[in-house]
Amino acid sequence: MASADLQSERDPNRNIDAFAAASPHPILITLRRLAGRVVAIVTTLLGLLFLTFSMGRLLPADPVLAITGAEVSKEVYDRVYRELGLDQPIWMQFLTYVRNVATGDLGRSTTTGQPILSDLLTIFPATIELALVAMVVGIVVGVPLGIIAAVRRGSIIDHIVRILALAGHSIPIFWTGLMALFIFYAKLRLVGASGRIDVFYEGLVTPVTGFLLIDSALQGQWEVFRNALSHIILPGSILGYYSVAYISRMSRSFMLEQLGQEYILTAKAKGLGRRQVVWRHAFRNIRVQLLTIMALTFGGLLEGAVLIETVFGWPGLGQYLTRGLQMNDMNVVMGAVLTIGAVFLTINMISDVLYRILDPRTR
Amino acid sequence: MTIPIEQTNRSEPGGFRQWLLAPEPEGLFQSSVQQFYQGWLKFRLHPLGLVGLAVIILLILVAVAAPVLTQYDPIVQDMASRLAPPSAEHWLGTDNFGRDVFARIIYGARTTLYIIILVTVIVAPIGLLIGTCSGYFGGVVDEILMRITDIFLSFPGLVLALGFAAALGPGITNAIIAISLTAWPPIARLARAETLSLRNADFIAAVRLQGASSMAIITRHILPMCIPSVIVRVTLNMAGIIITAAGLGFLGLGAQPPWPEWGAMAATGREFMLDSPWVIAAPGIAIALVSLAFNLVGDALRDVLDPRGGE
Amino acid sequence: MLKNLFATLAVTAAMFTALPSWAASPPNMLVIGTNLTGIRTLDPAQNNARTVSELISNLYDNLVQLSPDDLQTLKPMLATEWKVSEDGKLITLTLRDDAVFQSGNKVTAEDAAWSIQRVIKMGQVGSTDIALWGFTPENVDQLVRAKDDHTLEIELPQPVSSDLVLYSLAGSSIGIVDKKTAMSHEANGDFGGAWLSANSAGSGPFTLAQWRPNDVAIFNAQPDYWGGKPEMARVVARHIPESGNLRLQLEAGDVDVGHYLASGDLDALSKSEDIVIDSVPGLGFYYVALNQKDPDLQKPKVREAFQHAFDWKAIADNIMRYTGFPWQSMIPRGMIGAPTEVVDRYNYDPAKAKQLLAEAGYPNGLKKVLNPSGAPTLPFAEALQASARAAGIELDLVPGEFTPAFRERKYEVLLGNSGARLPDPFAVATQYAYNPDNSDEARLGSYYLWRTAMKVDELNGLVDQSMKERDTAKRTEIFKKIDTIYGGMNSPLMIFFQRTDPYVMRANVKGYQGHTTWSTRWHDVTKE
Repeated sequence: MASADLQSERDPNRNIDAFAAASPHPILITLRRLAGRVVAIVTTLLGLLFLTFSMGRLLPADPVLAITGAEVSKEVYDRVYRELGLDQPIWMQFLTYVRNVATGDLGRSTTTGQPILSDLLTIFPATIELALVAMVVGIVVGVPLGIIAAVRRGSIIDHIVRILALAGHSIPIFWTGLMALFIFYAKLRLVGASGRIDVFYEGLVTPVTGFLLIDSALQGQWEVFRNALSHIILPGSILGYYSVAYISRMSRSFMLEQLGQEYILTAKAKGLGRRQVVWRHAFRNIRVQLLTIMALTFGGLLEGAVLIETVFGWPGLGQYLTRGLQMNDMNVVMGAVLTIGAVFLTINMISDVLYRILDPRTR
Repeated sequence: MTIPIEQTNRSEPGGFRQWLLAPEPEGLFQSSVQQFYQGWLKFRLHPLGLVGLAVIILLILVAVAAPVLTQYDPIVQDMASRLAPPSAEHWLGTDNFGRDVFARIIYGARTTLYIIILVTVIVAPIGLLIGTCSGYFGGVVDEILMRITDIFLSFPGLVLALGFAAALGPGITNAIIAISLTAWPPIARLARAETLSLRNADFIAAVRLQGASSMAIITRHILPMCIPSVIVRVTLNMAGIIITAAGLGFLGLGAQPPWPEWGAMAATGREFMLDSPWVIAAPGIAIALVSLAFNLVGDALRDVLDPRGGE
Repeated sequence: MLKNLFATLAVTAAMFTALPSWAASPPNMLVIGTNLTGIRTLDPAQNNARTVSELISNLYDNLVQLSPDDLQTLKPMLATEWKVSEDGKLITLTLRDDAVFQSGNKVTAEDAAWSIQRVIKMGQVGSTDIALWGFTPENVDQLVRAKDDHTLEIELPQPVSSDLVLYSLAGSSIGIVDKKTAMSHEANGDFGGAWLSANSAGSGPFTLAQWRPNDVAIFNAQPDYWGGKPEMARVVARHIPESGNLRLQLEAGDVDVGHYLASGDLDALSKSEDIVIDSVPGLGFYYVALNQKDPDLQKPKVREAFQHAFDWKAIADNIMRYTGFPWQSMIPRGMIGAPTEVVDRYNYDPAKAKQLLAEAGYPNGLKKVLNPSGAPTLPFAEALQASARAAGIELDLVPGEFTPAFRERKYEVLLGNSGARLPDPFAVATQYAYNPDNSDEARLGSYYLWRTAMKVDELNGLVDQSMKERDTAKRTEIFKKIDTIYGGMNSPLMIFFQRTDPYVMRANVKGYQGHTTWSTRWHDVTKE
């Protein structure tokens, strides 16, 4: 996925350096760093808002008609036009937008009639659940593959892992999804169809966390649990495959770096078994790096989810966004893009922080 | 390009090969050609990279020679023979309008190439300019430009492209603009890093002492030096661009009908997937193949440029 | 790649060896796979589209109803009988006394009167049909009134064929709402509209159990329904926009009834023994609209050229096989005044089209932007684009959702489909042949002729007449005349196909009958 490449571009230290170039006192340094950090976050958030705002203004939908419907008299049209602040200068409109977002007001969807925020709250768990399953698949498959590839560098396994990873970056996810649906649902009948659950299990579980798997397990509805699992397994695995591609590559590279270190050679010289060297020593040292990679992968999964949800009819953020696009539902597009951007940003910050706290070299 | 070319006599004794391998290059042009040649010598050793390169060359040839390769028109409909399975007559079958799928794949290569080239042409100069300015001037300019870059990087590429493609309306030009919006930041980052390493180089200082303006220094001296690595970087991103373009096409935001575009072809094929799988299989494989080719080349390039050999 | 997929699947399969149970939908539950996009509310007064009409028709009873196999004869529902005064200006309906709302309140004439007043006063799309008779927010309280608990009087503000009025009462928008319950949830003078968007307060055979926009609507049977307890304890309308998915679920028996399947999937399903496809003729057409605000398209010769630029026969047997049949008259098949057989008004003749264009001053052809009204009409638009190219018309096809642009007259050439609920040619005539005020400010977006920016006074007069005339023979003549004028004027709205709505059912589902006016009722549905 494209984002994987973008992520490797990101340099976590850059933001700080610019502000902490030449500071005398340690406390001052910390303060400045903190200030720099806050400024960085705020400006990025504002930029995010500006991008979504300009997207909304560019969309070919008339925001007034979206509210009033097409059969509207001139007077009503003008009144709503003013109420929406469309007669204000563009920067005022932007400020209003920022203020509204800050208070949680993302407008109303013109196709569902619901406030965007409540729509987002209902659908977001579906996407998170899907991404988490994908994440599990990615880690369970990706990390061991990458490590084996590193340990047996140059072997057949290494090449296979490499090809698999490259294929993951190359095959369009929507196509994989459709083909998988064709094979595993249409032909083999191994998994459930589109959506999160079969219709007749609908309404048996009371939403608590919003995650169907957890809710059904907590309430002891094992039939529902199994059904939900059969629905999530295919999109989750496919999305997971794309993170396998990234995770396996990164863990291979981290592992290779460790395996070349002095202490490994020493350990080997001491006669420790290969298994012990790899898992006891080398793996321990790449755990932190892996953690940050996983955080970044999670952001990338959101991107894959947009397409995979469309293919699998998954009622999550991705489907919400693409439907908004197709129906010219401006507020939906703005809200969904903003959410994805904000989640992406948060995850990047968390991974930054994790890296700083946990990595002995930056401490 | 504005590389100051110092004329060299290629027919001097020893010939071209010796010129390429001369231990002391006589000027920038020879040295960059030499660098390139050295790279090629290393690249040659990567069989997968070569395969990728071959596929890319094939793509270009196919796109150029499309009318020769097929007798069918990619857009003329023939309802009588719609959804025909692959046969000697229609190698990859026909689609729901009776159009030859093979012909549409072949002509679709043109669309893909068109997207790639235009995105490169848009993205490289913008990225270069922003990156070099940011790196050269430093300070507030750097802070502002890099903050903007960060903002664009803080979105998943596809989502941003999707939003803008929708905002601008469907159509291939708008898709290209939308993709470009998401593709320039890595270039800018790279150009900035290169510029930082060049900024205090002796020859730049010399030019500055001669009284050259900042703009002249950037465009004449720094920018050309960044071009090779930018080209490599763009190649590395190419697969991502193709995938994003296909994603946009799939969601109906790419090329408009009837022009063949692989992502859009896959989207229409989905309706007939169960009974006529060739309509969707062919474009999917085409996208995967080309994107994989770029990834293979990129992978090999990375090895060439990063001798540590990690990734 | 596949290898890895298998690997991941193997891992998960090992963890959970028991894979899904393939249970078909239970015998007392009806699962409908449909498209819920764009349904914002389940308030009868705020809707007039197809899917939502069906949902509402099962939550709310109407005063009268039309059975799916006989669209001319009104049948009792909440009203057991009705009579029209001599002069045709007063309709008196007698309501049954055993009907109860889901709240337990009795259905009274006051509820009925209020429901009609509400529709008019709210002025939303639900009022499209009934407002035609001249009801306004100012006069409706006087004209529609409860005489006593069981007697409703509807006085007509102008002479109108009383059949038309009664037909409009059978439309889903005039579902009778529980006044007390709705008003107890009123906010900001919305007549309970906000609350009713996600709740039901009707006397119908079903009640709304759950509503998630764009996802699912769940209905529970009302055991005390006056017409008897429905066989189905539960009906689920699930949003399955992907035709391929819907087809697979129909084949597997997960879904019992499917709406909006694509032509390819319908072809495949038609071969299955477990599946029945019922193509229900609809009161609307597939048309090509030419915006008369465009100086090129204004020329009659250009409009005529378009008539011969579309190879519609080529798609009749494939793309349109289940969604429409060739029909180029403005009066739907089988209605009064309709031709008895198919008329070929527009034959495909690219040479003639080219020549007409040349005569109109475009010897080198014409270039215009073509929009489909939405995704479902896109294949149709692609076919038009290809055949128009041969006729010298270069159509730049820009896909997307263009119905709003059409309503705003912001387009050049548009391809769309229409529908109506009133089973009388008058309904179609108002859409296609009526435009009393062609100014932009009039915003008469519900009249398609206004959307194409054309006004024909003679047609306006005839359509008005057809509404007021009470004699069927005379009305038949009027509609024939409208159609003749329409066919000869190079209309900017070219009708190519009459719409049909394919309803796909599992063979074991009985009693589900797709309704031309979209008010399919589930009360009598059984499963074998």
